[in-house]
Amino acid sequence: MIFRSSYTSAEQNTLLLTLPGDGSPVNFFIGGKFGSPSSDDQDGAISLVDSTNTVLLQRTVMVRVRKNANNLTERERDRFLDAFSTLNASTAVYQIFLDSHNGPADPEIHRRNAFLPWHRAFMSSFERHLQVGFPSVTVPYWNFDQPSPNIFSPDFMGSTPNSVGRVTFSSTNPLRNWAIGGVTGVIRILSFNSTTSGAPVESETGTLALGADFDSFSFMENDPHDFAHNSISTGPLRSQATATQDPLFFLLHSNIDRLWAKWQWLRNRFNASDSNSYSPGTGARIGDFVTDTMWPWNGATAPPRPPTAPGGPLPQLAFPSKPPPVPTIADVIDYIGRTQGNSNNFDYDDVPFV
Amino acid sequence: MPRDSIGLLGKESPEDEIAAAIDWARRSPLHRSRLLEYLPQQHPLYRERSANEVIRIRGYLFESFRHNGLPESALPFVLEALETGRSAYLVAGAAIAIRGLPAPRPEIIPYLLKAVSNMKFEDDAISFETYKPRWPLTNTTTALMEIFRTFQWMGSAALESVVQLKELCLDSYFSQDVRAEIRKAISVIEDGARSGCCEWPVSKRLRRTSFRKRKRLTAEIAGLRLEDHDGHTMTFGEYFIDEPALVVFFYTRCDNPNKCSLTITRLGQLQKALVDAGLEGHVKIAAITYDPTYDQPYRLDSYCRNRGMLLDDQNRVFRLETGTPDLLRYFDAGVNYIGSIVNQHTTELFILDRDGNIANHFQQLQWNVSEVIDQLRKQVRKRRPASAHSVVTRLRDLMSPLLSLVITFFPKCPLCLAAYVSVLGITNIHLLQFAHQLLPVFVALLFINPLSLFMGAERRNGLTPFYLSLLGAVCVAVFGLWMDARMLAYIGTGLILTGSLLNSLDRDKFAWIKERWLVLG
Amino acid sequence: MIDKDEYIKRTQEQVTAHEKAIENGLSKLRSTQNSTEYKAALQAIPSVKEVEDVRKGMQLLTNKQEDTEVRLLVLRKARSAIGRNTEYIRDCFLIVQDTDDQVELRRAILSVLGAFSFGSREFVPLRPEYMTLLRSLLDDPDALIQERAAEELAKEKDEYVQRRLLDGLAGREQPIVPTAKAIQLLGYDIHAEHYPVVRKILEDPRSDETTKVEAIHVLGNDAQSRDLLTALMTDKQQPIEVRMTSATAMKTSNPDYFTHLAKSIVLDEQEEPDLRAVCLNAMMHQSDPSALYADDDFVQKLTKVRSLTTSDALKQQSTGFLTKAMRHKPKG
Repeated sequence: MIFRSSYTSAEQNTLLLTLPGDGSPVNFFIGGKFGSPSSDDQDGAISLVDSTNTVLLQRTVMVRVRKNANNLTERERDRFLDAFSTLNASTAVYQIFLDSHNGPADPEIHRRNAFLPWHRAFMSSFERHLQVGFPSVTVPYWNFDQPSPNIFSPDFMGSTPNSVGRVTFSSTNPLRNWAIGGVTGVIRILSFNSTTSGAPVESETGTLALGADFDSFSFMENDPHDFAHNSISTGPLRSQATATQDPLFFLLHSNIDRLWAKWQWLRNRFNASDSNSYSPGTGARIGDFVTDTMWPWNGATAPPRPPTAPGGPLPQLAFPSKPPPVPTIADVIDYIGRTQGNSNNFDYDDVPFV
Repeated sequence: MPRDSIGLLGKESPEDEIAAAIDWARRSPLHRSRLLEYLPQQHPLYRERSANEVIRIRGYLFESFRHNGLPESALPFVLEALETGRSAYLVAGAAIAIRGLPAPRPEIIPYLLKAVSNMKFEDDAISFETYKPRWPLTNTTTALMEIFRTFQWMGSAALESVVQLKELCLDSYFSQDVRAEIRKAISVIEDGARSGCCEWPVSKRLRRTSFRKRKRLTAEIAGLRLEDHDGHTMTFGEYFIDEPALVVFFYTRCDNPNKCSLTITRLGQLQKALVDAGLEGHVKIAAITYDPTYDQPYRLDSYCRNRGMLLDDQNRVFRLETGTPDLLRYFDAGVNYIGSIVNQHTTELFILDRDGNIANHFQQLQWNVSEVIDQLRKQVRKRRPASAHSVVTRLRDLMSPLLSLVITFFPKCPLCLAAYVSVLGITNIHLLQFAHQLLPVFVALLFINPLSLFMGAERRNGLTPFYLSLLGAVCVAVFGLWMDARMLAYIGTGLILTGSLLNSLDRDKFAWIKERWLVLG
Repeated sequence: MIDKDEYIKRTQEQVTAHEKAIENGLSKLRSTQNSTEYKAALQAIPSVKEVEDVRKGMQLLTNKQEDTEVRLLVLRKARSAIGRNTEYIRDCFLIVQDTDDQVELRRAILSVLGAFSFGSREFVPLRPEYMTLLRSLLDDPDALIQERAAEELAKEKDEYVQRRLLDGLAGREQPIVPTAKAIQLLGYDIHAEHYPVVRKILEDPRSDETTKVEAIHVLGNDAQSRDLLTALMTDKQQPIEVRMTSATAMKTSNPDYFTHLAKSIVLDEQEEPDLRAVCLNAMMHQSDPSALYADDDFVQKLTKVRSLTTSDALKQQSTGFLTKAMRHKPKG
């Protein structure tokens, strides 16, 4: 953990607070220390000690961040899979994600500058649905330009498939129960050897180097995004209409969002009113502008939006947080909370706060 | 293809035979009407066929209407395909079918524009040259091309769409070929408007309601067991008797967002409108799944709530453990299956009265919220009689149709009054001492009724009422005056009155009667 | 522990180095004297995006006489730019269609076209041409191209590919893909008409394990297959993967009936441990397992199973189930 006496002051491992003694509160800020996220729920702690080093109060916490899926511990992985399978097999909630990222939704969510903010909100929605039953879970990312042997294993996203692309899950893997519309199982053949290489996409460095302004960076929708999907030579993840039928979809998009987050950090692009941070692009229409609310959470169904808006408002946390139930594009730009009150309450293990 | 077998197509009929029947009817317009029975989605023809097979048949069927004319009763089915279809083949067939209408109609425009929106990212190469062609094909068209060609055919009747067409012309998501068709459409429409050709009546909204499916609740249906989204069970009668209700059908595995997803979404909007209309708590709402095996309560609950539908004691979503086929048969619901999986269905909404009887039915096209509210309000206002079989009730029940009959025949203008008087005068001239001097006047006035029917034919129910009335007038004149055969003259009177009655009916009722009783061959 | 400042510095240096590599690479690419130099320059550069460079690359890509490796490199490096140009996309269609051209290149382009269909604006108006191309490739002399085209069409629920796949399964024509693959592809559309023929294939004792597994995945939707799936799940002579896949399909299509069967399998000491583990796994991931967790008799017996088994998988699943059952127990 780290502490700050004000939102923008330097971080410290311990914080000296002087209490006035009249009962009035003194504000301070806590955060996770970069490079030391939690791996279990409540495995972190804050202690309040007095001048004699007597512990007055201790509170356990979790520094919950999105991690590289290839480096998860077994417990982290199994918790995530349990949550994921619950969403797919035990509840009907996963249907929302199938219905809001399919063929009819395509014009609303792809081929436009709103692609990145929309998918960020989509990921938040998915993660918060997971956290309803499993609060310690986040969506890990598939760092697709790096070898990831642990991801493509029978205990995680499925092993080397058979001749027709059917991946195998171990008997204890909750993804064994994966089903879409009554059809069970996952089909996926990678076009590369995941043990020794990454997918044939634009590298992370190349993505960060796409440009200093959002318009230039938005080409990342094409490469690495489209080509990451395309690195699957057989399977639903290849095609826009069927991509969410493969659970790997969310790990792929977690990485897409991470790359954007990292670019934002590198270029200091958190100000929603700065066109370098976000720009609607040429040929913009409703849903592209920074103050526009986003489908489907806004319930908008009049053309040019899709005819229905499944899922309702974006799920909220137990405390006030962004994005709000009906998010705008602006709400997801400063996801990290550089300005107090903006935080979307998720972070990546390799993107520092400052 | 023997002409008899065109009416005998069913679930066992091979596709080639179906296509041959359609091709045969295409060459012979007199037999076009035989194809009409295959339009409703619940026809046995579509049983146990895949969704794509059904689309092939229906698309090919629609396209054939271009060649032998599109009858009025087929129009809702064609418009439905434009409004909700996501298959390029089906939408192209529907767009082409529109060109089989006797004349363009401005009320078609919104459906064509909706089809453009549906097809923008789903366009595909198709061909109607042969049924089930083998690819590759060289001579193809696309759904978007056909839609814009229909706009061209509409000519100046599509004037109100020019602004939107000009915007579409700038849309880079359309290919150069499609944009050329759009430009051509704009040019044809504007040229037609400039030349002053044709006065188009203000476009009327197509009526979607029908009383054709009125039905009394049977004991068998009332006893069917429903399970709601919370797992509570009750009989159909327990839920639906006592208050007016509204029923829609849907299923969660529907992959067309213009259908089931939209139906439930609009149901949520309707619930809000019911509150505004002061009908909340007076009306029950029910959505019933076509797919009870897969659509378990937790799926139904999630699907409906996630589309904004409120679920409580007055608003439920149901599945049936057993009896779904019986229920669907009772409602004559527009759905069909392959095995246990839906292969196609329409969009429809049923209004039930306080006794659970089917009172009204919105079919084929997206229902209008205010029209539905109106019908529900009528049901809410109706009092339930103390004894359904009391004489007083029966008389009261009879009053309404009797009154309607009187109103129908009551002359509504001085000319018609004169026409009726002349008919009565001529047929009973032997009773009137001084009527002979008025004979020429009677004869002149006699033909006023058919003349007025002729002039209003396009606005009303076509030329059939005119033909009947004219025949009646001729009978009265010839048999009543010339041949003094009074019985035959009375027949002529009957024909004149029949023509008036048919002309006064609304289009749906008239179309139904015409198809059942008046179409020859 | 990561030194944040060092991390920032390193990331910035990497980006700067990459930008320089592109600059140098472009400079080399534009100054090459022969095809060997061009090839080397192309290999070194991360990507090619400038209009003139891409145009030059496309001249090579569309030249059948050019070295295949160079053409593949052009495709790899300039693919983003190609996908943003309608004319270049059409050039790609022509190459894929040309059965006289290099099959490796044709396969690579077909794959890249899939990416364009995902996210390229310029691709949208070409969709009818793309679908026509895919349908023509169903009769391509290269089996992999046939299969890839069939898959793209199947995901679009294309009626033509469904017809061809069914004709192949029914023996009415030469199949375009192997049986197992055909079944898998038909499964993309639950409204297709494959259920009777797939059932027949599953019942056929000559069908291999791969085919049976694909058939089972698809027949979870078929109400008439319940007895068949039950038989496979409970038949100890069947391969274990067939039995485990049947269990999952049963759970999806008939959860109540599955639970009844699964309980007896889990408690059967003579049964395959992996099958027992899969059944427990499935039981824990149902819409409402609370009734199961409240079944004290089953919980007690499962406790015994856990203590007796030597199978890690079964032990792990039993522990997971019992932990959840404990959590669901009413307090007090």
